[in-house]
Amino acid sequence: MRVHQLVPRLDAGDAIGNQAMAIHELLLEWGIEADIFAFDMDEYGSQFASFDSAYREFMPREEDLLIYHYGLYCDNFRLFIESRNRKILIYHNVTPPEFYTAFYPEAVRLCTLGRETLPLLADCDLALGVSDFNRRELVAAGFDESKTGVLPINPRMEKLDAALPDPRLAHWLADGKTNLLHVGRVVPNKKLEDIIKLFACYHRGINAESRLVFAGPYPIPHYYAALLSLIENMGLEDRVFFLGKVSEEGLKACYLESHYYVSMSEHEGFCVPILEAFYFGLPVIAFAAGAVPETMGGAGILFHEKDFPLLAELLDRLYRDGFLRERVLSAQRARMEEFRGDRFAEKLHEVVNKFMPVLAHGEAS
Amino acid sequence: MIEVNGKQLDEHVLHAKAEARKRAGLYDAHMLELLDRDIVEEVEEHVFSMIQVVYDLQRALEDSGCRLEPPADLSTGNEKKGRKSSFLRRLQTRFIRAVNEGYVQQQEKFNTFFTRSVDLSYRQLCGAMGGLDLGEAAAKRELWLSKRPQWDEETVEAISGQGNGLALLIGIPGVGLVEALQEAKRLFLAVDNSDVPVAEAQARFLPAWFNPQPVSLLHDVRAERLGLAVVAFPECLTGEELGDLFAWLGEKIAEGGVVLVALNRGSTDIFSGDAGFVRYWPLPFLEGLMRGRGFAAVKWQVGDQLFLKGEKGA
Repeated sequence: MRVHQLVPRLDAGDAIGNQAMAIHELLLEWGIEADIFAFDMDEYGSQFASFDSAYREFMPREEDLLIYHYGLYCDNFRLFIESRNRKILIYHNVTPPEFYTAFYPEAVRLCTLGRETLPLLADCDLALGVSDFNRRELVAAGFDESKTGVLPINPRMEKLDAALPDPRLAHWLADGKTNLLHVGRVVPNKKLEDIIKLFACYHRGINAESRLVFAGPYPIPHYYAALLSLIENMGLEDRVFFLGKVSEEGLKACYLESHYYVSMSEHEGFCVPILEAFYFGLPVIAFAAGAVPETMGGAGILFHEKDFPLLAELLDRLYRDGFLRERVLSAQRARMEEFRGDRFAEKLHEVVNKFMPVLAHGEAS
Repeated sequence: MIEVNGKQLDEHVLHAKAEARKRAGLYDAHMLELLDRDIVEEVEEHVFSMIQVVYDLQRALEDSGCRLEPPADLSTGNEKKGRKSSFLRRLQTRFIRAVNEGYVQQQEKFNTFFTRSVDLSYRQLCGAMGGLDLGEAAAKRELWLSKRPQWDEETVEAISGQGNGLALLIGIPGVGLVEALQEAKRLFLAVDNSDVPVAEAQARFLPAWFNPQPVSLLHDVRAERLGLAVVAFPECLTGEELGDLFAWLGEKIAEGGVVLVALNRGSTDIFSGDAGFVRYWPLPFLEGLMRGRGFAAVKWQVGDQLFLKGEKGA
């Protein structure tokens, strides 16, 4: 009896890949034979995963368990459909295609296909969203609600904890300027243009000694170019920085040396960087959309309208009002407690035990 | 509404401060305008936007299974083994992907013309080699070619009065014109690469000929007193055939003679191709052919039908 995980890609620093790896390590720890299959992978992923064609030999085995991570359209969904294993779907959410319309038609196609394919996956033993927002999307897509649940992402802080902050980046960020940070891919649904607009108000109206930092790859050149154009029009060329994909060390330097974490995203299935910001003690101000309010769980600052001059005043108040700032940080720390690794292990144990009652109680911890 | 740790924040003071800063001129009109501006406008203004044609092509290539950079084509002579897929895959990987992924950042006009010409080549390739499954579009093309529009009486009458001497018809736009020219004893030759109009004409005892390459016939006929040539469906001829045809007409048509080339889609665009994959020839191309052979080219319209009319000068 084995547990197989099937993912579209297994890459370093990717939320789906991290979730799959967290599950994989726990399964091995519990003495369960486990493997990961991916349509594609980077160098990091190739240490742990095989190409998905190798999964075919396990497909007829009814006693095995297949966990399929679905977060973007990928041909290997057919393996999930055809497999005779018992099946769990973990839904990481597919971005609505309309966000990409003006920038990347191929992404529109893939997102449309991704959303159209979701109902085809409904024939499974259990469907889990990484948030309740995602679980509700599964139900809306035709999944049997009694067979759905939530398995939140396990934010793996131990890697960031272990990393030494990149000294050059840390030195550059620690020059006395106030740093606003956003972590994540530079893609349209994250609405980075709105972060730039907020920063423009903050920089021009309140604090000229400030800087905006984006850490994350920019896979859509047209969107990236449009952001650069906006930055130029606003006269912020020497104040807004795109770092691209950063290492664990670079990311840690960003979190440690920044003062605010800002999210304007209008669609998130979970949003791990918000929890990372919680962990590193950055006050988070985020637009209430998608699964963001659920991930924040009543901690941090949520806003429902993008009134940029007003939000700039809010940043200023957070800086001046130490009491308010401490209240926010304290609630964020409390929220992080709910994402401790052992809680994730318990939840996963509960899920796996439904299919493999070989695990004794307490074995998960 | 702003929530701090799940509780609503009193925003009055924040609003008052923001308003005060606006009044003090810290946020000028230009900046306020930029705050309201959609990022898509930045794309339109500054960024070369994706060309749908390339996207469609990419998708068609993917659907046909062309995904990877292929090995070199090692076929020899007439073998043609793997040449099409090799070409398509290289096209995809070397050019289209580069455009799609934004590596190619040339000026918009260059990209537009280049990609449209790739589109045209692709469609021609599909047609010439039996190609990919073009589904409805191929059926539409076949339908258009087999049932080509017939010209009305007004057009027939107007054309019959053009030029002087004998008339050559390349493409038969209905038996009406053949009949009218025959009655006026002006018909030199009517030839088409579709057997349907030829059969119709022959059923009425009119001298019409079928040939899959009508222009190739001309080199074997003796043409004297030729004063009118009508090219009814230039889209049924290749570029080379059109070149040969105008070279021949340039020699054979005497001063004052007329060549009429039907513009079946009105004023044609620069590069063309439509849902039916009918290859309408671009107007500048046809004008160039005419002028190069001593014809003064002007547009001429009868009813709904538009022509490019070339009059042979001295």
